[in-house]
Formats: sequence, structure tokens, C-alpha cells
Amino acid sequence: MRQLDECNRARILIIDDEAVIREGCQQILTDDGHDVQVALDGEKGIARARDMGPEIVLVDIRMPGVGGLEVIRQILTMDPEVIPIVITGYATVEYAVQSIKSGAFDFLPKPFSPAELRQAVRHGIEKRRMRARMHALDEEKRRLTEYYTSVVSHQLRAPIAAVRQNFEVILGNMAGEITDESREILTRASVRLDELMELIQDWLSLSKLDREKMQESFAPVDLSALVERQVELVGPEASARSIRVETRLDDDLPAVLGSRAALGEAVANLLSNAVKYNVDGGLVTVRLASREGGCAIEVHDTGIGIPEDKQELVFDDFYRVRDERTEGIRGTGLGLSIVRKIATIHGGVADVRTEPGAGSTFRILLPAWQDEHAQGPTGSTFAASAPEATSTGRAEIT
Amino acid sequence: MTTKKKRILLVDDDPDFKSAVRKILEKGGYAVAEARNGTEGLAMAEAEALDLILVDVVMDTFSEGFDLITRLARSEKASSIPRVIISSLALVQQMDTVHPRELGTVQIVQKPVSATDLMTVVRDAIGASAEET
Repeated sequence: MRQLDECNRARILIIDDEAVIREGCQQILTDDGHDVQVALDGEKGIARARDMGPEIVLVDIRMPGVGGLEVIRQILTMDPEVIPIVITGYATVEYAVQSIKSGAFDFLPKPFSPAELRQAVRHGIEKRRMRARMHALDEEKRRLTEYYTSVVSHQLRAPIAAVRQNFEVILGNMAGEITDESREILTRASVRLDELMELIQDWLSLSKLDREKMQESFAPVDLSALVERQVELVGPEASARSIRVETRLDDDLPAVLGSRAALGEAVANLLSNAVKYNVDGGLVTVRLASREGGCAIEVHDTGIGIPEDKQELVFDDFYRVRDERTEGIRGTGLGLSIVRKIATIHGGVADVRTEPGAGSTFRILLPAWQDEHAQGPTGSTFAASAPEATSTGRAEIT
Repeated sequence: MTTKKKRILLVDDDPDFKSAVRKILEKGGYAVAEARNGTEGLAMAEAEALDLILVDVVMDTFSEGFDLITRLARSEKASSIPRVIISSLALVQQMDTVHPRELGTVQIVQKPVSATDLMTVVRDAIGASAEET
């Protein structure tokens, strides 16, 4: 019996209805020191895979009942890290292609020698190891990027904060009385610094929106409470311009799975825009409603509206509608990019309906979440504007 | 009537920021002591009579302020002095998910801060600790 060290040993499941192959492979691989289990057909193989959590699966392609390719598909759904190796007596190019398409890593045509079997298994183990190393590197890269972003943003902010804090002292006459003209100049300068701070904040938000990381923190979200909280926060900004903010929260809303912090930020951005681009004394209506099988957050304003040819552009990074009516309105041009990215990560969409001069309705449409025990269709996605939106929060919790 | 001025320790590595905050606090009737980093801050907090400690987060290291706060919370001599974080990190934006108490402080303040807001925070922090004792 050959002794393999820990890292070259694997949990292997052999699924084959042909006893000679099954037992032969089991004998060779067990002797080599692997942890080997066998199953007589596809159905038993899937059940066994669920119990043992194999690292490598050898699957006969032609079996009565559940076929080999379907077995591979189901096992990969359980654990995408499994390395499937296909065994077949029908060694044709077509079969090979079909197997690889189904997710098989390697192909063993019958008859094969013990050496060929060992080589396929060895390659499988190496593949797993490389994959693990890649995952570790990806994780490291993500961590470093995040750290770097935080450091850069802090280094940019700190000096602005120091300057701004000293303006506060001067404007408060704490370093002696200042003239009205000086006050006006310093006040304008302070506003510009505040905007620069906001820009850094938005840029940081946008760079930190990591799909996988956010989806890891997905949990059921109480959208009504979230909307009410954000409406409360925008209150002072709205009442300063006599803008009313009304909420209409429907009952029986579908449950939504997501990141509370991120969705809060998205709603905050929509509300802030609805106030900024509104007319003094205008109205903002926030509506939570059941739409298209999902849940919609709709923010309507009675503001200046968006010209038709600019409606898609407003979701682009740094894009801002510039005309005489928006001249005095400040912004970073990142708010709606953030909204759309957050919606997309949630498997949803962000869009706008608007009439120039008659206000706009911005909408975030989120897919309904139904937990495993619930009836009916499982979580869907709205992929209208987001081709990569096929991975939903649902997948993370099953 | 003469009451002894309340004393506030400012732990921050940015001299420009510190001098501005010192001005605001002194105008508000407080006495101010300064420390440049966590080590100095801890030593001063344990040696001097203080009513409040304002702690910056990013100093020599990225988490120096958090480390100082942990050490202050465990310190026999200084744990009863209220602590407030004052940082240009975007901590306030995460307040929905992080409570100041979890960070061992009574309040988190975003730099820059208006003189009015700073005075309110300072008064509340000192007041709350006076009520507790």
C-alpha cells in the first residue's frame, strides 16, 4: 500500500453500475491511501455525495436511472468545488465535449489502466489545490483593495477636516471678529470643502460595494422601517425648503432579502435627490408597493424632471444634468450609480420615469424572497438592465 | 460663583485639527490637555484628573484610537472617564449598524464638526457620566 501524505489524499466517491469497474477502482484508490466510497447508481450516488462530501467523484456516464451527466450537475449544485471525472465506454469526442460542458474535469475512457486512473485523480487533486489557492488570493486581493480604499479615503479627508475645523473657529469669531466680506468668502469656501468631503465619501461607498461581501450579510429586511427611518433623516433638509415628504407603505409586501445598510444608503440617495431637485414648497412621495412579483421602493418628486435623452445617463458615474435649472444644485454625480449598483447586487433594478417639468419617479425594484419552506416560485431576479444580476441573495442562504 | 473648569483630553496626531478644537472648547469654558498618540493619551488619562477624553482613530496606526479606547475601558484608573470618538473615518454613516457603545464610547463625532454640535456632545457626555456616578 502506497502511503500518501495528507495533502495528496482525497475523499473520493465512485458511482458506477458496473461492479468490475467500481470495485477495481475502489481497490486501487483505497490501496493508495484515499478515503473511497462507492455507489451503485446515480440516485444512490447523489445521496452518498450529500453524506460524505466528496472532493473527487468518478461517475459512469451511462447508468440506468439518473444518468451520469445529471448526477454531476446535481452534485455540483450541492458543492461547486467537487471535481467530477467521467468514466465511459463510449469514448467519442461528442461525449467528451458533453461531459466537459456538464462540468466534468476529466475523462476516463474504458478500459483504463491503474496508472491512468491514478493520473486522473492526481490531476483532480492538483486542480482542487490550485482552486483553493486562487480563492485565497482573490480574498487577499479583496481585503487589500478594501484596506487601501479606506486608507486613501482617510488620508484625503483628514487634511480637509483640519482646514474646515479651523474655518469653523474663524467663522465663530473665536480668533477675533471678522468682516462680513471675509465671512461670506469663508462660508463659500467651507461649502466647497464640504462637497469635497461628500465626493470622497461617495467614491468610497462606490468602491466598497462588493457583490460577494454584501451578499454574505444578506438577511430579511423590514423595508417599511427602513424607509421611515430615511424619511426621518431627510426631514430637516426638506423642511428647510418647505418640501413635504409623504410615505405610502402598502400592507402585505413581499419579504425582501438584502443588506439593511446598503438599501438604507440607496433610499437615502433617492430621497436626497428628490429634495435637491424639487421646487421650494414641493412634494416628495415615497411609496412601498408590491410590483411585478417583487417589492418596489418608489420615490416621486415634483421637481424639474429629466430630459428624455438624459434619463439613462443619470445612472452613470459622475454624470449630472447640467442646465440653467440645475445650476445652483450641488452633487457628486455618484448618488444614482450607487443606487443602481446596490439594486443590482440585490438582484433588482433601479430605473426612472420622468416628465420634464413635471417631476420624476425613481424606483428600486427588488425580487421577493421566499424562504425554503414557503410555497410558490423561489426568488427571481429582475435582470432587465443588469446582465450580471442572475445571482440573487437567495442562493446565499440555501 | 467659581466652579473648577472641566478638563478635556484631546488625543489626536493632527496639530492643526487639535488647535482648532482646543479653541472651540476653551471658548466654551473647558480646560484642554493634548496628547499626540495612544501611548501618551493612556499615560495622561491615568495620571491626570479628567472629565472627558476625545479620541481620534487613525494616528500612528490605522486603529490606534480603537486600541486606546479598549485600553482606557480596561484601565483601573481611567475607565470611568467618558470617551468620545472624533474621526474623519466615515463611522457616522455606519451608525445604523454600529452602536457607539459597542466601540466603548458614548458618542461618535465626524470630523469636521460644527462648534455647536461639538459643545452639545461634550456637555452631554460629561453630564451623562456625572449622573451615573
